[in-house]
Amino acid sequence: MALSVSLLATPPARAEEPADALPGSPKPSGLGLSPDAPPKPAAPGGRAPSYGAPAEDQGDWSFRFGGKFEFATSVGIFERDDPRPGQSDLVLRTPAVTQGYQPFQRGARAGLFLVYGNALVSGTVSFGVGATGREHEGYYSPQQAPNVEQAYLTITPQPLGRLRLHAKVGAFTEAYGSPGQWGWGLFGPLIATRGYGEVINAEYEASSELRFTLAHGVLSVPGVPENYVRGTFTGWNETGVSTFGHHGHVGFNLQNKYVFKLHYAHMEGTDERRLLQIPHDGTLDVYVAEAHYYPGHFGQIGVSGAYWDLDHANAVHDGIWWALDWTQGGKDMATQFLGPGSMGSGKIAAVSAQYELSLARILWHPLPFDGRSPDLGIIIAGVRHWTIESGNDDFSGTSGYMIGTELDYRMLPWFSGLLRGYGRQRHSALGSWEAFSISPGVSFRADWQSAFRIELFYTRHFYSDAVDNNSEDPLDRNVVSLGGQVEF
Amino acid sequence: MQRDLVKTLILTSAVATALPAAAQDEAQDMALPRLGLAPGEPQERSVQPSTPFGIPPSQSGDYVLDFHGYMLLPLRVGVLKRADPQEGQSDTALHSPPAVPQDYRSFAYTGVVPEPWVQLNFSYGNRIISGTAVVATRSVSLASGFYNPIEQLGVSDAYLSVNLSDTFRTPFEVKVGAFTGRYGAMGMYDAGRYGTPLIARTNTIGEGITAGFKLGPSLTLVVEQGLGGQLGRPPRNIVPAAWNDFADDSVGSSFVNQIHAGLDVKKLVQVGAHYVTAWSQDEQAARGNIPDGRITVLGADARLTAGRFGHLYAGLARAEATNAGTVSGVIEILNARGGPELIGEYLGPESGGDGAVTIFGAQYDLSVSRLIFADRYKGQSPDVLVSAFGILAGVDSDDPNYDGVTKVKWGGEVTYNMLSWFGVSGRFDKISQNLDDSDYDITIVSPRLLFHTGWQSRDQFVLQYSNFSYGRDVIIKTGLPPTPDPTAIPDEHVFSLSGTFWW
Repeated sequence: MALSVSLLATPPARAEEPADALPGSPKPSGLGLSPDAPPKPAAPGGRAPSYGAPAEDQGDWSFRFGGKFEFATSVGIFERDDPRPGQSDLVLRTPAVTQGYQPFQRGARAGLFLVYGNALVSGTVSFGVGATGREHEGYYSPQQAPNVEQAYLTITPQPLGRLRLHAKVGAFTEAYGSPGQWGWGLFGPLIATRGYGEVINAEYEASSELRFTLAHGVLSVPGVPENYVRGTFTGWNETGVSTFGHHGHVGFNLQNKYVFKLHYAHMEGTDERRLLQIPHDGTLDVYVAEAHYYPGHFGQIGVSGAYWDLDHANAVHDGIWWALDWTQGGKDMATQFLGPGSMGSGKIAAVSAQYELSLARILWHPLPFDGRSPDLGIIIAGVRHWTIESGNDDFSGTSGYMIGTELDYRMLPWFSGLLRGYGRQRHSALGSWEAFSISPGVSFRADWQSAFRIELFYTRHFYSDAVDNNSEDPLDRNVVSLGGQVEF
Repeated sequence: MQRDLVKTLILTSAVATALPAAAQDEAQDMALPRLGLAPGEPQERSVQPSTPFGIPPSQSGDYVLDFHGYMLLPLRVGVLKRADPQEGQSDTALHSPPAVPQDYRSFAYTGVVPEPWVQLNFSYGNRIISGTAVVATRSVSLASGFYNPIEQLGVSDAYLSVNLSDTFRTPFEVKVGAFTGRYGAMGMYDAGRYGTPLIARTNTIGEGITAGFKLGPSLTLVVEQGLGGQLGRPPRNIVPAAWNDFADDSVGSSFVNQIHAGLDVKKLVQVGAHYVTAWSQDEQAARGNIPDGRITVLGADARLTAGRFGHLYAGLARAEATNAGTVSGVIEILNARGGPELIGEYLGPESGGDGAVTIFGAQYDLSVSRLIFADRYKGQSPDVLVSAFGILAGVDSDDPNYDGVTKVKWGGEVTYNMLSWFGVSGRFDKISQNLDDSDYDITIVSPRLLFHTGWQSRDQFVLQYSNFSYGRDVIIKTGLPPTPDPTAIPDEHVFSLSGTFWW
């Protein structure tokens, strides 16, 4: 909408004359730029049409809108050992103060996806909007404020014979190596990348039963100024370093029954820190093998194995922002699994597996199960990890695990009984870090397969001394959670 | 009488809801009594939207929703050969964002190194009245190194437009709300190669009126007036910090009054005259009495849109500043926000905010194919685009170190779009931060490859290399807030891969 104030308040993009965007064409009369024109130069090269230049529409453009609304709150309950006058025996805290996995992440949040484009090219913007104010949050939390979380262009050219290409350019996240059938699975992927960059996917259909895939991406995560004062609302990412990386992936799918993929990612941080640090460039390499087997009505079995090689990885920002659990970059991973004093160097391996099935699908077999009658959904997952080598000898040779199960008994169209259990153990400087929880609950829906869901859980937590290590500020062991979500 | 009035109102509202009778009965049976407002209702008085989508409000008799957007998303890498790598450091340093003197607020900014920008424009209304909200961001949080609240601009503009052309029988538009005004757009349809309004930019909440008068079959007079101020000012004793964009509480509440006039001749030539004055007369100063401050801009520009002979823009402006340090970012001169940045970039710290900047700028764009083939060229075949551009800023200041300094930047760009999906382009930029001292010069050479999905597609993917050469006294800014850092060595090589999409 470039030169505004077209006199009839008509956006120039639809201006009455001229109806072309050729260089040198006159524009509507006006004195300045419209408020809604971007404060940016013309696209490099000065190709026409520039933003707002009048041009004929090309192709079938459409606007799509999707997202997810969710809320969850948790109340921690514990009994005071020594209540003082004026204090009741019972302490209620929200959010609950816990460690380990919870059925929900607390907060009220909307994730919105806006997509505009056609079959060839589209732009996607995802918004994250949380409850920010004192009204709901108790204090103003800037990080919950509406923010553009991802934005990227997608190009999907016409297939070249049996070859299909697909590319993304922009700022986005990608996830690889999850043993789950859909999405992230119970414990997430073994590589999740983020940053500004591109990724190109190629899929080759060798036959009706065999497809090969190949992908490669390049990215960077801008650095944090070294003198930047970090805080809760900014995150605690490492200052003074920026990350560059690339990642590659190959795989095949046979009969939609056997899937095998190999993933590799390399991240590199050049260290320019000058304050209170001895700079050292660092790298983080990840190798992942991923296999899935879909034995028909018996569900899905997925297994992924990963190997991380960290070399002074404290200088590697979080281009890899999810590895073993939510480890944000090299420094976070080193802190959790290589221990303090490791200098960010070491080697870690892990195997992650997940099995998921629908009991009704088994019982109905060979009839198809349409999901519109009672069912018991079962997910069982586990991760075993080893610190093979660490700059901190105390951590070398240690291991740990994560286990979890989620049961969903859909007994009525609108009601389910739920049971979730999680456990985690790893080595820490304070001893064995162990956190377990079990959460019975109920779920209410609008229908058997409704996208609306409200869930209520009670969770009992169990901690080792290394986890609940501050008697002045004990963790909650009894937690009641209420959450809901809708996807569209 | 009163009872009759109530009955009438009830009856009217019942008719207005206009549901089919049976459905209405059923709906009423199921309706719960209202004990309060629903959470989804606006916390301000408002009408509920009804929404056909995708039709520009200005073309619709009904209320409709329209949606436009722009995104520029670059991967950028600055490459520097380390002079003295320490143990554990490789010879080559990689920086993102690149460590180059391309601060948007400084004169040296050229726009040649792409920076992230996403904006979505939502408009709702009809051809008489419409509301527009622009949501924008300078970074994308999940791809950024950290969550920087000030880069998420949220709603950057929100305003109502009222088209009273039918009423006055002449083009007449009123805008009310928070919106930017940018005058001196050097590009044909955009802010030009430097992305910098030459005359001034205003950031106000207030009103703007534009009226057009046909003086003849090919002569149109356009007059525009605006008055506004900022929504707030930094509270006294606020602690400057990253989250508040390092607010300065010595800056007062500031206002802008502006008037512009332009003459359009045969849609071939447009000339404009501009007057913008921004001032502050605020007594809420944190540190004793502060003098009233003022920045006034007088400018004139001309635009020749000559079809096959291309597009030429030239503009001249003079910004006079008096005690400008108290004037907020309600006005921007060459992207410098308000008095404090005008002092920092042009007038100097010893100026007391007094001085002037004289600005001249020009841009010429030519399509060689259109020049040769005239109207036979439809934009659906190869083309060579040529562009030349430059800005000069001369400083008069009470600060002897800044007085008499002339800054110049100029450049050229050639683009050969050889295929519907591919083109090559090159851009040259020269920046003289002090025309009398070449030690402050910066030279940028940027070859690039362009990929797009059609001759006139609204998307583009650019693979670009920029080579930076520096005079020996060039200093870059580092840290947050960006501060001149004489110890930092700027990058010589910058690579970028960017995707742009606009609709």
